[in-house]
Amino acid sequence: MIVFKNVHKFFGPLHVLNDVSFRVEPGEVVVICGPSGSGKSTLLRCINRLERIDRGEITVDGTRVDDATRDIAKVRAEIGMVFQQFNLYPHLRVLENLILAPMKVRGLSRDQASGIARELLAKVGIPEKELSYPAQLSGGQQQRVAIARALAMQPKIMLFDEPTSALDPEMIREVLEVMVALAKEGMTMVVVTHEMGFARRVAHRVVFMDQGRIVEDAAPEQFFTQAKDPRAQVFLSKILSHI
Amino acid sequence: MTDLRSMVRSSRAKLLVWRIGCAIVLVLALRAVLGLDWSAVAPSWLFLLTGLGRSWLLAVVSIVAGGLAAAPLALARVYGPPGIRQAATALIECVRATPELMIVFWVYFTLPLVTGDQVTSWNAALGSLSVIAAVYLAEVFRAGLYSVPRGQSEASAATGLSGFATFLYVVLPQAVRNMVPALIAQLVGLFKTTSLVYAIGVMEFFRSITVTNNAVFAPYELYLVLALGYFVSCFAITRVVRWFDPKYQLLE
Amino acid sequence: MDWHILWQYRAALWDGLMTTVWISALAIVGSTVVGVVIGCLGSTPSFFLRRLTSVYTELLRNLPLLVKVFFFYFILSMPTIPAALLGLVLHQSAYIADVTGAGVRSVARGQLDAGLSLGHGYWQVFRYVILPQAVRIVIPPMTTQYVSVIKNSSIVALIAVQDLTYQTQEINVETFRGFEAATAATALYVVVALAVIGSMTLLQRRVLAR
Repeated sequence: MIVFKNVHKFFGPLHVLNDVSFRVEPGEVVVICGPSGSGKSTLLRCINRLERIDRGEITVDGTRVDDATRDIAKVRAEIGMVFQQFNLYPHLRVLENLILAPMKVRGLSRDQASGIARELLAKVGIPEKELSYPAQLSGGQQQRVAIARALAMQPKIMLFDEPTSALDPEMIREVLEVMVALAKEGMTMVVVTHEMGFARRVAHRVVFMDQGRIVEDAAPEQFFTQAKDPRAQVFLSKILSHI
Repeated sequence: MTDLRSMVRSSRAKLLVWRIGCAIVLVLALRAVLGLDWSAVAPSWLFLLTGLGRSWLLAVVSIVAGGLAAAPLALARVYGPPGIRQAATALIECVRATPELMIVFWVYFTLPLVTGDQVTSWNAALGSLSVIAAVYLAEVFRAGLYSVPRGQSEASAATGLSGFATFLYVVLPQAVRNMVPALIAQLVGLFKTTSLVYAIGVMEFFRSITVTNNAVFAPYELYLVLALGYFVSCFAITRVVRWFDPKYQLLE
Repeated sequence: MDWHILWQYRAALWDGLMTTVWISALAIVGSTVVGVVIGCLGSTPSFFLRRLTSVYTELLRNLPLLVKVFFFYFILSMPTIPAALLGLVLHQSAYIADVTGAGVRSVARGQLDAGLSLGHGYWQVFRYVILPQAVRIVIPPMTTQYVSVIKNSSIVALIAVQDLTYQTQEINVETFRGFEAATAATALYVVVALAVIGSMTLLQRRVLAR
């Protein structure tokens, strides 16, 4: 479903993605972790071309994403993204946040879009908040709305960029629960996170990145107990001591 | 092949295309400019340069004089007791709401009444430009004083410094450093405003251009000199400031 | 000081006020339209659009208003009022472009990312997400710009348009009571400025009302 072939990206002199090749199959849940600056967020953002690559190929569902001439909006409509800072539209109510894209991009009527939106709000557990403004919600609620907003476009793939890193600890769980439910339904997910509990529960693979390279790519249990690369082992020892 | 893609997209490539485009435009402009008849204007170059110099002189002197007047105004507005603070604010806001040209005329009419004597247009120009400078500088000073975090004065008070010493040794130096770009911006703004005083007969840059035109009638060449004189002066100063402090946006 | 001449010349002052008001109004509308468009274009991701718009603003901001008006009046030989309006519009549009661009850029990058990631094109995100947020931010500095337009409109007196400033001169020439006339005219300019500031404050309240 997602194929990276020998991808390179530079930020000036910084080699942010260094010969990255990896695949995600339909229905797979892949967790990407690594120290900061390792390129994991960049890798994620290249999938829907929020960042452009300098060398290599990225294919999503058969379409070349790195080709500048393609209509990227169509591809993006099939990929949902959830951000660390939620990025909800502050000037619109929750329901309006959800229905804007289905109406303007897919051409649904307000009623159709609202119906889908309400179902999703119920699914993420906050149907009563549809008329609230984002500023009136807690961080955990906002992020769940953000997930619902991405799901409103009925995407084939969901990308998560450190979705719980900006949350207070007591709210992390409610968001992870939604993500676990989504994974169990068979959604293809690529998640950049430090939440190893989540990885253990639902990830098919864990990918570890360091300085722009993929260093480990293994099933969760193998990753946690038998990581080959010393850098991965150092990282794990720092992360797992928190849990 | 993919290297080419990143090369083409790179900002360095675009910058090069932009610079080449600018160079082409400049060359074409230069050819057009040189094609004009400069023989009529050339002899007056010193006269025009003197006019430009006078405009700058007006601007610089007025900024200094205005600054001297602005300091007490700003201090009154920031530190003054309630009645004085409102009065200072009202004065500053009233003058700021008045068109500059009106201030020029107003000072030109009022000054003779005050001094009881004939006033040269140069002095009236200086007076009005100083008034204009004073109110804008009062705001710059106020912003500069506010730009020093409150924590600074609190910390120095905690070490036992008196209010006045705190102001002199802690707040003021930081405020001044923060104000420099804004002060330069005001100087440039005032320089542009000096063009107005031609209306009361001052032989600054603008008037020297119109006078020369009356003598030799070369409107296109002279207009070019006019525009270039102001543009190059302002542009050079703002570029120099930006070179010193790149992140500051000069919004005058 | 003889304040009675103000009553005597009330017709002239009124005519001047009206001229100032409608020249300012037209200039405000014109410079807003041009300035906002240029400001929005200047905050797009396009390298060349950003450079071109900054050429526009740099060029116009480094020239005094008088120089621009004289270009249209003397070099292009346009009649007084169109020349004045064109000069005013060009002059203020450069500042308004900067103000607008700053407002648009201050809307967090994440908003753009979120909109794009949902499949919107750039201009769709701009229209539904960025612009509504930018408008709230931009109203106060825009108000300052509009007051500037009102003050700058006095320049038309120098090319014999009979606005408030021009009338002040006329009254002085006839009665030597320039001080009184200028004071009255100043008061009237302040009134016009306050009217604009008041309307913009009302607008801001309506825009912010949720």
